[in-house]
Amino acid sequence: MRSLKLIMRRVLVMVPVLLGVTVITFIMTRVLPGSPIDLIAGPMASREQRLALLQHYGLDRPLWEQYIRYIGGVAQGDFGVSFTTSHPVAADLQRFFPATLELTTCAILLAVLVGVPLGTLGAVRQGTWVDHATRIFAVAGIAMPAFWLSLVLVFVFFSRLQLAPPPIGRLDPLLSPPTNVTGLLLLDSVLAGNWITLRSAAMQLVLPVSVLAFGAVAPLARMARSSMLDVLDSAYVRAARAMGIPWRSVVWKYALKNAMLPVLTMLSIVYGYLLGGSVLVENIFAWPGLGRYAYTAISANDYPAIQGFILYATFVYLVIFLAVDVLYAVLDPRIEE
Amino acid sequence: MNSTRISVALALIVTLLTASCGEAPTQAPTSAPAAAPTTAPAAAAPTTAPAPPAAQPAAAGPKTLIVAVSRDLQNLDPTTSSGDPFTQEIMYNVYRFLINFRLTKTASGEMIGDANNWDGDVAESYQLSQDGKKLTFKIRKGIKFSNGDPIDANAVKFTYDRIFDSKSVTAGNLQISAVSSKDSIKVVDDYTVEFNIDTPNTILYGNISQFGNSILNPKVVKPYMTAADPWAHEWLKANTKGTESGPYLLESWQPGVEFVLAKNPNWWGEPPKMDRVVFRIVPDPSTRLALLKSGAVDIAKDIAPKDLVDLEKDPNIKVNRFTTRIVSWLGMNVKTPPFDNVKVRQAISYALPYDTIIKNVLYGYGRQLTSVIPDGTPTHTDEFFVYKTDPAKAKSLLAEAGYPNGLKINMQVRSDLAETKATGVWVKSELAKAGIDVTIQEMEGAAFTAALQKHELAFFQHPGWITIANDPIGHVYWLLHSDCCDYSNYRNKEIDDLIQKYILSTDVQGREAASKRIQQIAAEDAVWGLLYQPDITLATRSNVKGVVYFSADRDWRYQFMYKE
Repeated sequence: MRSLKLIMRRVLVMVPVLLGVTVITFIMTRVLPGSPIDLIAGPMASREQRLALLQHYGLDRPLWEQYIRYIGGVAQGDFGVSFTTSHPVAADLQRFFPATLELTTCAILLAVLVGVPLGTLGAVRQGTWVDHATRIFAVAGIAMPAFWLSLVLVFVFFSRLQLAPPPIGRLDPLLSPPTNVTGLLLLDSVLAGNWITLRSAAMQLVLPVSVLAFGAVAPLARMARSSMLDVLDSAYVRAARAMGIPWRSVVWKYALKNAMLPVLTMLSIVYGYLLGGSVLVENIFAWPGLGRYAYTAISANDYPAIQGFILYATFVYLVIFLAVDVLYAVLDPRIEE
Repeated sequence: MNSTRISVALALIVTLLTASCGEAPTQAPTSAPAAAPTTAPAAAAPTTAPAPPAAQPAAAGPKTLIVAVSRDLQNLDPTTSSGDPFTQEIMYNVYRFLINFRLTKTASGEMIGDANNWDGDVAESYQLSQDGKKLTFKIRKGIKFSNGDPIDANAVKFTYDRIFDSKSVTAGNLQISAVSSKDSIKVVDDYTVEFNIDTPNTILYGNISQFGNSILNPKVVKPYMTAADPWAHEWLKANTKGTESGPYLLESWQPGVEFVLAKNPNWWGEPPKMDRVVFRIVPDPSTRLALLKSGAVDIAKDIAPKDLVDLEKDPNIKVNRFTTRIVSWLGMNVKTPPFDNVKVRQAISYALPYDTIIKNVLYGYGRQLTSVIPDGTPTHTDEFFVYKTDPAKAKSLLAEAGYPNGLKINMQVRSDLAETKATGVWVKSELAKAGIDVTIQEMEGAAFTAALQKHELAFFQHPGWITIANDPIGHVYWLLHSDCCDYSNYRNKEIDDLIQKYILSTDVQGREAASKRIQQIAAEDAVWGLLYQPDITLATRSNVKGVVYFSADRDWRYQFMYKE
């Protein structure tokens, strides 16, 4: 099948891209000021003790040799051990990824459910108060800084109104998490039939998802609106109207599908961006996600963790773009290989 | 639309979403049993604690303490975690050493850990010989590690062999205290250990009651000592299971989420009042504050002084507050002009806004530092602190130094600490009144620390240093003499000689006179801009009692805490 060939070619191309990324990050992290050894050894370490630590972490070897060792490890699935968590980086990424995935996927779903209808509605009723209201709503989403909105929501809904649960992470600290299958608490709770953790996980998600969704609504709504406007203005839509096809049919059966393609592209960009982890939101809601992991790693010059995270982020973008391209090919019969 | 197309699309979406599950990372173990994280997201369900049916909240409330902390554990290996004060606190709760600071009741009736007196801990008793060269420890009989293995002289010898063989910072501290090598430590019998001291001195006790000296279980640790990792650093960084000797054991650690202490069933002392202590990682300070105020957590650490002022007014919150020996100062690098000129340093000392900083940066949670040796350390004196904020005097000193039209200098400010940023602002604005134009150079934590360690910073605030072993000569040894930590490169021959002569000495009068002389020279030479000794605070709900302060290391021992 044509799609299969496309997928395979793209997967093969991923390898040199990822390798190139490792080289760049390898060099960049070591160019950063400050060695991780200073932070690990502490102030009272003598030169001898620092050297011992340097040797222990293999940081005294020449750069190319360190790189070869690293790549050799990566080929076997060993991404090194983080200086800051003292756990293998691969395990860290696997641990923090579901938290970010769950958060961003819920946020994207909410943003799509809210933003796309709003945008298309605005286009269909262009110029009316509906259109203006949705545009203002979308701009507000872009304009409000996520961390400010987070703090305001915590203050209003938790501190004052006591409607939201404490922003203390993914689950009530006194609950044991459900048996780990995917790492996505909502899914795992359903699979385990554990309604209490399902409820707690869902409640903990409400505020941070709202913050992220609000920011994501804007680009989606605007893209949906402009794309819809373009389609409604196109020749075949005008022809359909001229032929007497009811407005409702035109919009739902013909225009909508074609308007969605650019929205899909925008969606992939926003999703990829969010999957990189939103540090500020994760910080405020004590969310154990990849954004925070990356931030801590960078602050401490944690080379293995930084490299691992960037590799992961690159991989995610590549996969998402591949998926979207294939979806395009599947959805749009005009695209041929 | 074609149904095959739809199913392909759906399949792709599902694959994407389930990318997280399934394949375990193939951890190529770099050493023996790979640093298996003690938990995976779900394996946190403790098997030892009263395991509640997963559906219900754990039997919590009165027997579980919940603490909101600002960051995660990092390195649990006692000998390689000197750079990580946060994790050190947990080590003080799960590990013990030969002697410990004596629990004392103060005049006002509160319990503290006395920084200047020690009781036996793992050792039931200890005895220094008449000539001061032999310290004999009698290990308590019948005490065990958390897994039931006995704690005996062999465990002690194993611990100290490892400390020396791995060339750790702990070994350095022992060598400074005249315990020169692992051969200085001898096993006399199963329950007696002897330390041989080259030169009698008064700084050894303080140096062996620190986390680096945590007694480890050879039966548990030895299997992880491999050719690639001869000191089991990899395992000890992330694990404590089976080698805990304290009132608590580390029941679980979910990196990024929380870590939990649970009662150690083999603890040989008075049982802790709380069964479990849950440390939730909440990086944002306003979130921690909100959680404490609402009662969602019992204790919130690292609350900013500004917020403490508000919390004091809240009847549901108690702000526990203690003075410390932490010194925070302005370094002036004598290798960087104009700081090589003593009159310039004195001028700056007359220009600093001392009271303003304590009021506006610390909000009163601290006191003036009046000497290089802090108040709380024996032989501290403030008699030589003649400096007070006097811009006119500063200007005249600058003129004498050859800068009648004022001075332009750079100040390196650590940008990730609110305290140092605020101090930088005040220093800049107030020094301007004395004709000193300060340009602030912000540096991130890692970059700042790296430059600090290389002694390359010219004019900077050291965020805070504490010398755990509460000895005046030991203290100035580190900060005015040693290669590592004399960050302003200040050297004075008389001070060097006095330190050399008296650091390993039992001559009480001689040491006192030496200390006073050192403080005098340091003050006259204006070696540092003396800023403050910050207080340490712990904000808790008002029903949390038993907060016992150990002034030596200022880490909290949770075994004493309970909720009423």
